Amino acid sequence: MQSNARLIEEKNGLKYPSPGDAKSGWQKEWYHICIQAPGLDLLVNLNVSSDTRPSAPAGSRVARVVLMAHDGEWSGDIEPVDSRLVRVTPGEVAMCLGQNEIAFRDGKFELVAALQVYPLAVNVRLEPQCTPLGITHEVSVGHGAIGWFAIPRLSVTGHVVKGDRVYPLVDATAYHDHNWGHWLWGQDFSWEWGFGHLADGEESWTIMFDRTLNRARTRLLESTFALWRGEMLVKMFSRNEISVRPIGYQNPKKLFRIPRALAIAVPELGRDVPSQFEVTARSGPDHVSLVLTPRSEAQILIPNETDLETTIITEVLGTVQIAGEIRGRLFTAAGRGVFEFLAT
Amino acid sequence: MSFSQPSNIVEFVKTAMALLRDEFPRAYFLICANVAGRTISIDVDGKQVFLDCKVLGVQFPEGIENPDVRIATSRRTILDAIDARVTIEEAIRDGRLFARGRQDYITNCHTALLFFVRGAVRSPSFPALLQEFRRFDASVSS
Repeated sequence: MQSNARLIEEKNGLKYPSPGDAKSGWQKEWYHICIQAPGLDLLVNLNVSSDTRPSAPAGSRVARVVLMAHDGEWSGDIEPVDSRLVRVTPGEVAMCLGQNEIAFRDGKFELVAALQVYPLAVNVRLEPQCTPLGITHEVSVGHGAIGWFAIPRLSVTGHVVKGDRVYPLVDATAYHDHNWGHWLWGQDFSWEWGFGHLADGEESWTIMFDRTLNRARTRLLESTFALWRGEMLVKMFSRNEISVRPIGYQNPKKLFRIPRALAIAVPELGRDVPSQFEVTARSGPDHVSLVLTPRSEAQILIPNETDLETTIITEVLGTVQIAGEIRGRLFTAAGRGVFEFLAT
Repeated sequence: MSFSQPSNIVEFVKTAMALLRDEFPRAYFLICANVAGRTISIDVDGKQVFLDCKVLGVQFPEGIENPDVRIATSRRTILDAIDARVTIEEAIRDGRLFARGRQDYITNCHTALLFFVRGAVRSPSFPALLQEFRRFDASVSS
């Protein structure tokens, strides 16, 4: 695991602020963490972006914290952070946004975050349990590009507070990724992304999937489907080796959505989240199929930077089942996952 | 942009529109385009604000006789909508939000409201204004 720690120190540090190119005003960067504990799911996103609002001074940046939790009921919010309280250290995993902070020290992530209006807070240490995965090139999105570094399974110790309840994290796992790049929300792209922490008896499996497309989902920009058995990455499928099949679509009547005020302007809940989602991949004799069965959904609404419309990210909690054969070994596993469907 | 602390609902509406015009003008002018030529009265807990809407701006006269659209609601309902405790449709159905006028005028007002929200979430000063509105609500309600 020491080599993983070195890799994380080398590759997972903040990319921005950096000397800009013509698109430097579109910079975006975040650390994203999903925690799965018995009876609780938590999503945390600490992000800093170029401020593209017309009244913002040139070169200014805006920081926000997203916290969402589900324990049978959703709670959470997106909170802006005063720019005077933002401290970032390029090249290091060190982002401090007011009372919210993530850092990587002695082979572990330390994460503290707390909303100031809705009572939701997290204080955890996360230890990588898998070989990280970095997409070696930035992927085209809209008129820009996105980079990606992921640690698909981490062990977790610490606490989450939701409302009046304190959750000590026992038998909890986490997913972490770091995204950076330059694009504008509202440009011509969409994505589907997800991970699952699964088990077959004593053996743990971890999967990660992503597919980036144009808005109409007719042109594939990038796709990866990776599987880990224990801590080892055992297979990575890419692009045309991967097929996706939504099985029916949901027609939700009500969803938890943040920021709440923007929901007034976006009364439609969207119909692009499947009732079931199937991913199959084949490369030579190796093959795997995955089925996501959604359990609960919530939405993050992002004001487009290109127009007055809204990008909708639907976060889906669900059960994940996989079955397949890799290097002559048949396997099946099941567990929980979080998937994300982004539509602009 | 900084603003002086509004002390009543009329000042809140005026301040919000001024912020929008300065910080996200396209939303301001789309609001104007949708309600141009109309007069509107908004009653919030019995306090009235009057809007005389033109293509390039909204004016706030002291009073308007027979406005084209009358809207009535409460501070609590406005905050409940902002905090997603109630939707606009539910507020109307539950008798917490009234709108009276020609149907096409009311449709124009609803479109203007959507542009107001889309502009507000893109205007840097609105979080502070909303915080003031919450404090104002608490002080009036207590």
